[in-house]
Amino acid sequence: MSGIPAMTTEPPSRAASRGKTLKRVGLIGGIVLVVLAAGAVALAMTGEADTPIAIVSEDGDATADLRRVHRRATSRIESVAPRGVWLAVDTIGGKLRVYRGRELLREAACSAGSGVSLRDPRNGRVWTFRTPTGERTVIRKVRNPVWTKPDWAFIEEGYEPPPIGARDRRDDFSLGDYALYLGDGYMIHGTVFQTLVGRPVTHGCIRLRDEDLEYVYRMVPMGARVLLY
Amino acid sequence: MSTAWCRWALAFFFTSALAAGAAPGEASTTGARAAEMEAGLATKREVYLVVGVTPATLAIRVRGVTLEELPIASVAAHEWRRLSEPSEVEPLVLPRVLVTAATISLVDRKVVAPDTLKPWSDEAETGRPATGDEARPAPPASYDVPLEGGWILEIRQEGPSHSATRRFLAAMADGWARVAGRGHGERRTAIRFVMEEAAAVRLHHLFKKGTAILLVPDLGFRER
Repeated sequence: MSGIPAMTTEPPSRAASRGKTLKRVGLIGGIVLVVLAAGAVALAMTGEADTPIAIVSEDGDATADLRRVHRRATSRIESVAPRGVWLAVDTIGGKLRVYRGRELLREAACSAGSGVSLRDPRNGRVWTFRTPTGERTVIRKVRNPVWTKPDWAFIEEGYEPPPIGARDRRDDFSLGDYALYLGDGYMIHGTVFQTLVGRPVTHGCIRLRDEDLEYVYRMVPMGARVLLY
Repeated sequence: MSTAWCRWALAFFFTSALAAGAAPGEASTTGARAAEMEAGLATKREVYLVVGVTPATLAIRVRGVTLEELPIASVAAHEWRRLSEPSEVEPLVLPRVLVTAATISLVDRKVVAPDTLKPWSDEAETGRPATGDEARPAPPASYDVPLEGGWILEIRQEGPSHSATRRFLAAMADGWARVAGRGHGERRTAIRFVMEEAAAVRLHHLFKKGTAILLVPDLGFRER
């Protein structure tokens, strides 16, 4: 039997049908894509997004009046700068700076309030060890200061406080060699915990290392401004 | 020309002027106004911030004295609005004083509470107190500060992304949220200071209610 070669091509009707199907699929896909794109654009038009705002400067040459305003304003700024020696204390950054006018004389590491709270188990009273911010003045300078320990100093060590005026409340070593009083019980003083200076770990006072404390004691006069921020 | 286009043309013009800046020693409108604004802040006892836009610089000042300058990478302003609609926010014109509307929340603190207290005696042993070396936790490096007038100050480590693709995708996501009834995106008009983590942490405690921020083209305004 002579062999008849097998058919390798589809009949024309099947090929045409497949072509139609492909076209249909392509058309539907295209429509779907267009619908999706239109939907995306519609959604984007309805929704909101982050858009830059211009930062502009109303610049130009100043008039004579404005030049006068500028001179007056800059001299006002100059005039309000503290005179003499004053202190600025960064209570979070742990830096105490000594200035004379605008000149920075010395920068020292310091410790300020920890922000920790202590609760008295007897009556629920709470102390929060925070350094107050704002402007104060040096109201007293003392060499070899003695600290009269308040109730919290005993409670945080787990003891009942002794009676007011008791000899046990006197502490003549914790404050170091010098203390500068800022009012309301707050001081700039030394510490026996020298390695902790720079971290916010105090009960509200400002602690300095011995050499910085001596410098501050000698340089800063009574009545000097102390800015705590 | 539409109002929006006029506004952008104006913004472009003024931004060019800002970039060019005034030569040192030359009196300028901005310099005079900025100096006048700072004089108002310097007469108070509070610390205030002066922020220059070009170059981006941040100074912590009190009574006109710079206490510290912190590195800042950029200052940008942006708003959340529809792509298809013109902005309702005017360009941010410098100099301008921004005021913190509320103290941002303080970092949580530990409470030490002994259960009982021993009676005090001469023999009592005192040591390092329970609260003695407890440092407060560090504040965050990325946070928002509400400003008076409804603006928000964003402290971040990256600038806002304003690429067309990102904005389109964000708008689509917000649109879909509306369609799905899941509320809307975070609506805000904000100024963003981009700075390193350490600087952002250092700045955190200064944002109390009423803290003033003087925004100026550059910090040299006192000289001109």
